[in-house]
Amino acid sequence: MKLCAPRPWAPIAVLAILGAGLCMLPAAAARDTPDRVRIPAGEVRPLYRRPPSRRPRGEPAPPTRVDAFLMDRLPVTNADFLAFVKARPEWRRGAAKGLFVDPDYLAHWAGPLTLGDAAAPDAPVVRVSWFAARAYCAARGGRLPTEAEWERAAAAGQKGPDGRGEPGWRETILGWYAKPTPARLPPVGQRPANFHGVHDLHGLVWEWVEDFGATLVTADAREAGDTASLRFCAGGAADATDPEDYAGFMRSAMRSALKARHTTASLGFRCVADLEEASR
Amino acid sequence: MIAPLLTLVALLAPPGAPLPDDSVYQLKHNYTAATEKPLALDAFRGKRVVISMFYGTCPHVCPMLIQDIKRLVDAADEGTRGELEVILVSFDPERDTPKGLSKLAEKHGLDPATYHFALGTPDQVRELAAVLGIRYRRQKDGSIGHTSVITVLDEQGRIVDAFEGAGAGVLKLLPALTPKGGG
Repeated sequence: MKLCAPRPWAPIAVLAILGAGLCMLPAAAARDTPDRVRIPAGEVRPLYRRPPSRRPRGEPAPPTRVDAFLMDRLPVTNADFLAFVKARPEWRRGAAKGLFVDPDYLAHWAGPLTLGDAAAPDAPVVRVSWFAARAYCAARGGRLPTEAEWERAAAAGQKGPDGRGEPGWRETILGWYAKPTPARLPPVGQRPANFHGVHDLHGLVWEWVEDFGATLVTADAREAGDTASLRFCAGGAADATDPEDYAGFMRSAMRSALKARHTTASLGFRCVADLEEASR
Repeated sequence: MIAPLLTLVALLAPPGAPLPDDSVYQLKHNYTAATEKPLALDAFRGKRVVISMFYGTCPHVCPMLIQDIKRLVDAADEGTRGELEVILVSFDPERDTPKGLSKLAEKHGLDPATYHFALGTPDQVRELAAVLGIRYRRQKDGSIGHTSVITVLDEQGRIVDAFEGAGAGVLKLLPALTPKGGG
């Protein structure tokens, strides 16, 4: 599916706004824009039941409530990110501090300000750290989605906000997880949008979330040890609210393995923005 | 030949010299201390610093964490202890107050000359937790689930060593408290 609206961060538009700087971009908008779409409020089912050490034992933990928010229709592209580092020299490869990025930050770009053959302008940017992704979203008047927000948007199928009942939905997601990341990523927005109008939540790259580090944290650090082992060693799916949600477990495990300065060849991001109170 | 020389250079680097790339002080955070005065994250640049995160209404883990830090500091020799600073940053800037933190310090018998409780913004909390590798999440009942990590920073704010967990294992950080060890 082709995007019908021009994207303000497409390379040509970017050249025009560069002189004006990033502050020209609007702060969190209140409604749909060509770039961002409203995800209505809803609930996200937790991956796990309550650990046995918590009462009531083994009962499903209550769902997490997610307020309505605006989400980028597309992952951030190389061209988008190039415009950002042009405006913000401190985030260029070679200049970004080692506390915030690992040595592979943007390593597939031909140069600090050159994309080159391995990074098509319309392909999702990868090899960016959590810090860099956050800085980008902040510069655009947005922020990274929380894990619950991302999962809420990504739970949708083609026909509704919960894709589980749609034929082939799970298989499509898992099929992608099973494939290695291609050396040269395809452009964003090539696959159909989901029910909310968001593209590429599955099937292109993994995406950073704001609270990636919290994914395994339950009530109390004393429990972190036993619940983590319960989940990943012996118990595994015994603790799961939906043992068939392999994809959810894979995302959770992937997030829990990350550090904020890490970059990988298959990890990108997109931004979200808060809705004004009245429009929720 | 080069390594000892570099160590010497690092030790002699004046506080005005550029911060190392991987220094936690790259965060450039400014907090509010329990004294209600501003406290920069890099306020103790030039000294060894023990840093961790906690929150005031935490029922079990945080008192244990504070006791573990005390155990570590008390185990250091007098000279090392005199040069050491401890920074404890709250996960819960919405509910913790400078006054509450002062009371907490008093309750645990912590010397305010060494132990510095601090409040940041929610954004700063997330960033500091990220660089220290501390995982946390606010629960529906208002408590905050978090991992316990005690980190030692060198004179330039680089992580020398860290201990995750609870108990006497924290004493593995002892060598890191003196410039000649660990760093």
